[in-house]
Amino acid sequence: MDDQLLVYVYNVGVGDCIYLRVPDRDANGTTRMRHIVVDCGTIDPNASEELLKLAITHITRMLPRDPASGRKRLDLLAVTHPHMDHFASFGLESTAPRWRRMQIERLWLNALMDPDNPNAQRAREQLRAGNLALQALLQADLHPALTQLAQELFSLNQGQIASNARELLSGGLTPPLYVDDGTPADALQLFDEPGAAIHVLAPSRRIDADYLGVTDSDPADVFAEFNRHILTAAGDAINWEFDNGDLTISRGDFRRLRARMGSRAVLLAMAQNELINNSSIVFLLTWRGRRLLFTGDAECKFTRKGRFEEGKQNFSWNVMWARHRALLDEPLDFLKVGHHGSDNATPWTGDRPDNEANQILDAIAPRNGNRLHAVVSAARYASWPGNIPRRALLEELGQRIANARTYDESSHYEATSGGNWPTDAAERAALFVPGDVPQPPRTDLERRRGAPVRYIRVAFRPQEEP
Amino acid sequence: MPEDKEKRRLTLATRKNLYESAHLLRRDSSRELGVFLQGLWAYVQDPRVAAADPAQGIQQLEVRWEPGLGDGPVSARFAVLDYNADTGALIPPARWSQRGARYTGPDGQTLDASQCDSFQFHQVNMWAVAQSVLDLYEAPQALGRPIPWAFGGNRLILVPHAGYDENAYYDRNSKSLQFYYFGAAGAPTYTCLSHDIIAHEMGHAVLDGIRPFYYHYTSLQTAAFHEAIADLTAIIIAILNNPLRRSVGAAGHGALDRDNAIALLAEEFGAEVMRSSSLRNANNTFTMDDFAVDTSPHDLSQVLTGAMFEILAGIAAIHQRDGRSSPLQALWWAADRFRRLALQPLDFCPPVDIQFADYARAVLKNFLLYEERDSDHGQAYYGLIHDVFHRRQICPFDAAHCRADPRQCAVAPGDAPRMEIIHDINRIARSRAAAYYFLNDNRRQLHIPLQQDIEVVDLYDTAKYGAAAVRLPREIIVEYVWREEVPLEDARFGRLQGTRAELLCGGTLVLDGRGNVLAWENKPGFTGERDVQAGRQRRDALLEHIARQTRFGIAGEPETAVPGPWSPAVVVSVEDGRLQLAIPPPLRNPLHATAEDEPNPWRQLQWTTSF
Repeated sequence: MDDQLLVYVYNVGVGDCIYLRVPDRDANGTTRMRHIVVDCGTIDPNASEELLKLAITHITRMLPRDPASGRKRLDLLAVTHPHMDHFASFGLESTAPRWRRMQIERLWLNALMDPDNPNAQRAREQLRAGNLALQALLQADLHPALTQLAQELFSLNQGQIASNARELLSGGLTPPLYVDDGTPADALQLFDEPGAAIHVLAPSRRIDADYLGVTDSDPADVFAEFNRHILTAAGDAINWEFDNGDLTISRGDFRRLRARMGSRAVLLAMAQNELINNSSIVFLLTWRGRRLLFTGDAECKFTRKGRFEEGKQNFSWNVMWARHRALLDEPLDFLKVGHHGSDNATPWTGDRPDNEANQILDAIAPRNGNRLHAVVSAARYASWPGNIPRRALLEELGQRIANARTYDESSHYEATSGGNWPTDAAERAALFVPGDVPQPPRTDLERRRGAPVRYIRVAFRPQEEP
Repeated sequence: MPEDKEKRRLTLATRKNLYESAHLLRRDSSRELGVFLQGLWAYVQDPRVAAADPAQGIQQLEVRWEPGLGDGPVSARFAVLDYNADTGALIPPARWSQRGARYTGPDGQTLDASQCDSFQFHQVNMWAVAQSVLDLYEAPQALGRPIPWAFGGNRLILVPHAGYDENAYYDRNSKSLQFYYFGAAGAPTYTCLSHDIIAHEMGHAVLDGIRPFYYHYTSLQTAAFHEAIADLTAIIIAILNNPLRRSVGAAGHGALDRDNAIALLAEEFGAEVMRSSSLRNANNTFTMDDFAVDTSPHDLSQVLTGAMFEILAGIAAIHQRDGRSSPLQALWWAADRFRRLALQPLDFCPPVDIQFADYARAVLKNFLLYEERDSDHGQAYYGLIHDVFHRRQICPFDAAHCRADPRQCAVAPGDAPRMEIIHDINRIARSRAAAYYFLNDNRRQLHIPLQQDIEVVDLYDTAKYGAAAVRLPREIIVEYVWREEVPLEDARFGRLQGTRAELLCGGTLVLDGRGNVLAWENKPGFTGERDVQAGRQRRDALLEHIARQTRFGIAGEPETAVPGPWSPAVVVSVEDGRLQLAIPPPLRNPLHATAEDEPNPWRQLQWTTSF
């Protein structure tokens, strides 16, 4: 066991909670285990709080006790981005104290979370404008469906739990290091062993430029101007009090119109979420010839040119491929499939072979390879996003990995997306992988096998050894 | 005493009297008698054009007085509501002065050119242009009948300052036209001040009112047709504006075949956003071959818009060549003829799934029926129209075939229906139920499958004018639709595999006052006994269209309960278990990629121009 690198991916509903145990041999030949946690959250804390508690309990049990402080020691806690499905456990009353009790040696947060980051000024404006608009929308309560959507977007990174989590992470555990791809290597140094290292590939140091396409030479970005407009015009809060004497249409028509137009706030919030996803810490762990990639929710959609463009809005994967190709352009041993298996966070575009996304996937996960192990931390969720995980992507990955599985859930597959698909058949066609088709191991379906398995474990021996 | 002061003395009773009899009055008489509102100022192009040439700047528009005008402005068919969705502000409306019979600012100030920066001027500007467009369509020189909206209710809500965006759009769902503004703080560009943009959006609203099934994204050409008619609306309303036409005519010596304020669409927007002279230019030479199958509706629309503008310019040139009128007079005659030529055929168009060729055929048919014999140049006009449609590759027939008999282009495919069971025309015109009995009794002649339940989706008669205000024969028009199911069976439909789409079928039957068939446009299905081959071709085209959307990854998502800017570019909704494709209003934008310039969905779906 001491020469095995272990990866535990826990079932926490729609969310990530990953524990790594990495053997680290110093110059004297003494091996010490390094303990790393990457994210710990769930999108629906009400439904999955117990799962989080079980995961943290399991992790804690595996951590060593520090002889000096008597507390359980964690070498690194990396929170890829502040979305509920990645950091809820740091804000929940039932789980936050468990983190407080640990001795956390290093805490990494992404550079967008740094309030003083000069390269993310426009991005922070976007976050503020999105929050403001969303709050106003919730307050107005224009349409049940719109309010529900707004509530779900709001709760993703706002609200009491998120606020608690931010507070804890900003200083309640240990002073954070805000990391990006420009963070000096010595600041990221975790291992004594020369053959082990962590390389941060994302977020980009140039958040405004790379993810928003806003540069000093082209500041007239309509989206950025829109954010500024909202912040300037609305001040601290959007006004929803009206002089009814100025109303020239019926209240019913006005409500309908506002609901329709109010959807712009949702647009802002969705853009905000995309930005936050793109700011995910993505790191490559290299260990004795093994290459493990942890992706957070870094996004990869169709870019305008199908590839990275300097000075334009790009997605995290395209930026990584442009800036860190030397590190990425080689098959992986492990891939944490991004964004719970949805189709916006893995570089693959289906039938568009000319898109560079496919080039990236072919590099890190060649077809018919026997090296890559992948895990999807997913759960089918009765509401938004309603499209996780994607069948086509899972089937594609199933052909590229060494640890593919089949799951026979056909007998009990039920449509659960709450009307997000036009028909149950459409949902099934989009989400359900047939029982005889290989796909990556999934935290949701492993649980259903009946055993008390609440995680998927993947073990790696050094590459040099047979 | 100045003339306008004299007009303001009209009593309310006199105004009502004039209103009741306005339909009997010619425009000159209406003007003399004071039928029109006074002090209704608006941009005839946009602020940028106005700054460059005051002759194309702010002018008085003619909108008739009507009872029930109110603050806003609010009229029978429009309600201006100045609501900003980004800031939550409800901006005070322009005030209606019953005594003065005019709109003023909140403090009673006259909303003339000196007030062009006030939001109340913007409100009146937008309302006046929208009202002018509706008047254009309802006039006997166009459709000669009241235009319905496509939504429940009769007031279209006009929102001049909806929020910050490079956009403006017609949204059937909220019964509104929404106009956004953009640019640096302190000097924003207001889309609500662009005559072209308002007219374009009104064109969408009017077309949606008279042909609501074109809202369904059944083919690229159907969506492109919406855009072309919207642009044509802006062109026609512009060339009918006397000072603007004179200004353009004087600059071009009566010719339109060079870039001018009438051909250039949305100049200010184009300059600010695209760094070009306009958003689009109707003075173009595009043909169908210039656009791949995966182009956007906006791009493809330029072929039809360009064709129609070329016809307008050609008619003006023919008028000029005959030497009987001055260049400016020739331009007026051309404008007058062109509005009939372009707009009246809309009544001949099929109720669903229109293609450019359908409209071209309607134009030619309408011309042969009503225009050809009204002019010494009838044959020359027909030759011009015919040649343009061929050169632009809009006419589906091959050129040699049409050269042998150019009138073939005006003939609809299939047999001219000879009804088996004759109904009294007045009975048909009486109600949709009566029209249904007539259609049902003649299913075989109209190629309607026996098992399909048909719906009479519109029934109306018209009172149109031809040249020199000659009254045209009464037309009774029946539109009917049925739906056939098309299974989406194979993998090319991606997430939609296993579901069913609907093929919209139906026809438009134009009858004269004695019950004779003037025109018949038919969109056949594939489940009947007649036209099955054509119906199968339509079915296959629909399947390929859906598959193409699926390939681009922009179809297949359901429309959310509250559709909005986050919706995919093409949304799917379900009616009676069948899928329909539609383009969400804010996203009536370039939908497809070209090899050179693939779309960025984030940017494209959310921040592109929809007009």
